[in-house]
Amino acid sequence: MNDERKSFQQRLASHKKKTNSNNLNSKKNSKQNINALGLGFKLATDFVVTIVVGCLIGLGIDKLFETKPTFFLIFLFLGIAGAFLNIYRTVLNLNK
Amino acid sequence: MASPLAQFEIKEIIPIVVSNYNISLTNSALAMIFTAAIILLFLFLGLRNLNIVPSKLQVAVELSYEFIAGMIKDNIGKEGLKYLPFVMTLFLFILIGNLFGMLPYSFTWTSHIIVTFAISFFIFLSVTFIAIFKHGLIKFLGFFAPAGVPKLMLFLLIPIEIISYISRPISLSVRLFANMMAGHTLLKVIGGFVFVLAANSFIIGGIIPLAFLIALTGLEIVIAFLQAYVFAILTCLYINDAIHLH
Repeated sequence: MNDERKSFQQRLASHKKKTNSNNLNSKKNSKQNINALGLGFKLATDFVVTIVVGCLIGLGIDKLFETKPTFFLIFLFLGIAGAFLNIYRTVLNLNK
Repeated sequence: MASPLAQFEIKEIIPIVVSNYNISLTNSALAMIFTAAIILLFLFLGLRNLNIVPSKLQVAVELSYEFIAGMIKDNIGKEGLKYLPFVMTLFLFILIGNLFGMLPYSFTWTSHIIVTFAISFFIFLSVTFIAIFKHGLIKFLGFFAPAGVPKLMLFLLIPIEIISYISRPISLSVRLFANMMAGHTLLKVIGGFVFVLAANSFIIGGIIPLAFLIALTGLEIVIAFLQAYVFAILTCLYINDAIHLH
C-alpha cells in the first residue's frame, strides 16, 4: 500500500514537472506570437488609414474653398508625417 | 456559381418600414441577436451553479473574466477596472460574432464596415468625453500640443496630432472589417476551386484546394480570436490615453 502510494506520488511529481515546464513555455511563446501578429495588423492599418484620413481632410477643405490641389497636397504630407509618428509612438511604447 | 461576395449581402427577413425609414430585421441583425443570445447563454449556464470546485463552463467564464481583467490591469492600471464591463462586452460580442460567422450558412456581421465603424466611433466619442470630463477642455486640447515643442513647430505638429487622433476609430474599424471580409472571401474563392477542379478531374484535383481550405479555416479561427483581442486591447490603450493625458 505504502509502496504503491510512493510510486504514484513519484509518477505524479514527474508528470507535473513535465507538463508544467511544457505548458509554461508554449503559453509564453503563443502569447508572444499573438502579440506580434496583432502588432503587425495594428501598424499596417494605422499607417494606411492615417494617410487616407489626411488626404480626405485635404480634399474636404479643397472642396469647401475650391482650391483644388493645394490643401490636398499639404494634408497628404501631414498624413504621411502622422503615419510615421504613429509607428514611432507604438514602437517606443513596446519597450516600456 | 454564386459570387464570393454574395455571402455579405444583406437580406430583409421581416420587413418593417416606419415613416420612410427602413428598419427591417435583416440577416445581419439576426446574426447579432444570435451572438448576444449565445453570450447570455454562456454566462448564464456558466454562473448558474457556483462551486468552489468549478464546472468546465464556470472555468471558461472565469478565465475570460481574468483575461480581460489582466489586460486592463496591464494597460490601464487598477483605476481602469471600472471600464471592465465595457471592454468585456466588446470583446465577447466581437469574438462570438467572428466565431459565429465561421459556422456554415451563418452571417458574419463583423465583415460590414458600417457595423464596426459604429462600434469604434462610439468608443472614440466615449474616450474623448472621458478625457474632457476628467481633465477639462483646456487640458484635453493640450493633448494635441506636446510640451517642450518650439512655437514654430506647433503649426506643423497640431494638424499631425489631430489627423492621427481622428484616424484612430477609422483604423480600428477598418482592421476588423478588412480582416473578416478578406478571410471569408478567400474561403469562398478556394471553395470554388475545390468544386471546379473536382468536377473537371474526377474528384482527384479537388484534394489539394480542399487541404488548403481546411488550413485556411483554421487560420480564420485564429484571426477571429486575434481581431477581437486586438480590438479590446486597443480600446484599453485609448482609455488609458484618456485617463492619463500625457
